[in-house]
Amino acid sequence: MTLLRAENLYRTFPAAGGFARRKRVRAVTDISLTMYENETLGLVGESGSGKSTLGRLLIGLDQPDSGTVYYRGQDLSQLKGQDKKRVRTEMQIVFQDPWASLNPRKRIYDILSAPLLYHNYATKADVGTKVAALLEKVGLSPESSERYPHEFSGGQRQRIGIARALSLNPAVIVCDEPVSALDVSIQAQILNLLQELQDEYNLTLLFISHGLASIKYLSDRIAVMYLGRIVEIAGAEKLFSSTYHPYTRALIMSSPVPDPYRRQEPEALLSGEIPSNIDPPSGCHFHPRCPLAEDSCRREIPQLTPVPDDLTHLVACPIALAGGGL
Amino acid sequence: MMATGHNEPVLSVRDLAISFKTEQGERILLRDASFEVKRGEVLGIVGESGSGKSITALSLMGLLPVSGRVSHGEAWFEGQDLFTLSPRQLDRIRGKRIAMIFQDALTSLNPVFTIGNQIVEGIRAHQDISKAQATQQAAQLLSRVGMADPDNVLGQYAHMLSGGMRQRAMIAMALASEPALIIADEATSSLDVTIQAQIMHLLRELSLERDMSVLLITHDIGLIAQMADKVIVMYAGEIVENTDVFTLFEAPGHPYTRALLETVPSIEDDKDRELQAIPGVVPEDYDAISGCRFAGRCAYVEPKCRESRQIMLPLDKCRQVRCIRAQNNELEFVHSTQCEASKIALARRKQEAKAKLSERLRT
Repeated sequence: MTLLRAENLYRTFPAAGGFARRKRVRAVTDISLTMYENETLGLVGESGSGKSTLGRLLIGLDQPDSGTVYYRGQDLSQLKGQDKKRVRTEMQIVFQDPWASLNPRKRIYDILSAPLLYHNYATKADVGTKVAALLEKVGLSPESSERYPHEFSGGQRQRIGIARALSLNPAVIVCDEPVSALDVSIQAQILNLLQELQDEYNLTLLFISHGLASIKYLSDRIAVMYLGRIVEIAGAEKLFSSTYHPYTRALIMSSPVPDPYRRQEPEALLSGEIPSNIDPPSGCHFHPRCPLAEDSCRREIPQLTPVPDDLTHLVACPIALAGGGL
Repeated sequence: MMATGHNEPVLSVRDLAISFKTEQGERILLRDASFEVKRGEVLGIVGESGSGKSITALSLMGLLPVSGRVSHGEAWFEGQDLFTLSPRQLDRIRGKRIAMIFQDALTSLNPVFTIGNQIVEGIRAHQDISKAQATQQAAQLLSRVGMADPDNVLGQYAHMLSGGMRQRAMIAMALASEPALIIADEATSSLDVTIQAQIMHLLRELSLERDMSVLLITHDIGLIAQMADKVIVMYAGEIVENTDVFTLFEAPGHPYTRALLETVPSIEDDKDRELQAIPGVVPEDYDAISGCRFAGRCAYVEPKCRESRQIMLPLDKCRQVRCIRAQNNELEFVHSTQCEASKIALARRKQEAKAKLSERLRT
């Protein structure tokens, strides 16, 4: 069942000062995307590729310049009053930085009880029990509610952020790089927690990361972004077993494999820097770094097209499509 | 075959301890750290934040914050103990014989001088040549680190470059004085993976080409596998394992190393693999713990682990660990290794890399 559908989303921001004052950063360009109920969609791409902006657009935290997001068939931008308030509770976000995303002056109790009371999910009488239950859900003791954010480690704060996102029984949670600020030994704890919670509450997750390994671990499908566009989208296993887009291939080849016997070789590495998204390259944005680039790539913007044997696997590269997957 | 002098350590650190003044009095944040880096070797230091890896590097360069000090130990580099040098003597080594590249290139490059200016200065600090000759060398260096348009970059300022290019410029600057050792502290952690892979590959090649040693500090196990020859694993202010990279991945000797390897997802994994999380968190006041500092999170803990301070002891020819149970041969996973096999694998990997490099430089 389709839960969220984005159609032709565009979002630009004014570029920072100086000579570029009139220019705009193209964060998201012509993105159409569907999220199905209970799935985890992974969103991977390099910094500045528009992942976080897309995540925020999908749950109405930010408005597109043009294009529409439909949630359960309703246009998000047309929602008013009670409907809007209700839909807002169903869409939550977990931020990357567990230090910046919790108010340092509030106790955990205040942080978790505020949304419950505001949206009438609890009364003054039973809010304490509900907060305690939330904390237990994310693996923290109920006594932690009396403490302040600075008394917790990064991993524990991320658990509090997850508890806050869960408090209003959401349908969708955007997890924006939820583990990249955490130590490696803690990352696995949080990834496992997200997986458990999804199973228990039938959540739909958008999991944003620049690391392919954690994306693969958690996702059912994965979308790969490059300079504001989706270049490939496929089932999580499929993306790795039959990779089409040359950028996806480069990402996979560049992820350091924890095996000293298998060294990355220079021929597999991409050359060139990531271009600016203020003035992205013409045609296919990837063409200046692409080993497959032909003349037509400089002119034509490739559209997402299904691969021959799998209608759910889309690739924006006619040359890779003609050549077949890896 | 290896040239003579290869087994000479370039850097030899013995019994290093570092303490910091805090509101609670003086705390020992690193202790009992001994390791060496051989010529042309990449030594990886892996550990989580707060494990002591960065302060180890900073202490070698005399760059500890004012509240910190080396409270014990020696660091021998080219016949001198770095910790006994005067600031002036240290100036002759820092940035010249030992160069450092950091995570944040923007703060390490001088914003008011051009990239060319800064590299030329580095070159002329150790070579008596004209400015024009130095500029020519600077352009060659920039081209060697992968800058497409070196002559243009010479005249640019740090803020005009992208993150990856800045990192390259910083490496070119570090190379300018032909250092014997480069310390790279999380040098690519803020870069995207495709750029990180390029920079790391570059460092690997340069180390081979110039017989330069690298001290690579990272939290990324994948980078360790790709880059390091030897590895030290740090936990809560101590080195807990010291081994070569092949042994590390095949037969880790310390329960923390083993747990760390199992906690890292890999793109090679089966999707159904369960990630083994390490329970709990790194203890904050670890210097107050009298026994093993990992005991609270260890799957193999026994009462005796908490009784006394753990010491580093060899398990065999290629592994040293700080774990009494491993040392007593009580842990099943610490199966005996073939140190010889690792040694051969290491030598072969290096030889292959050298062959590939010379082929690449020919074409």
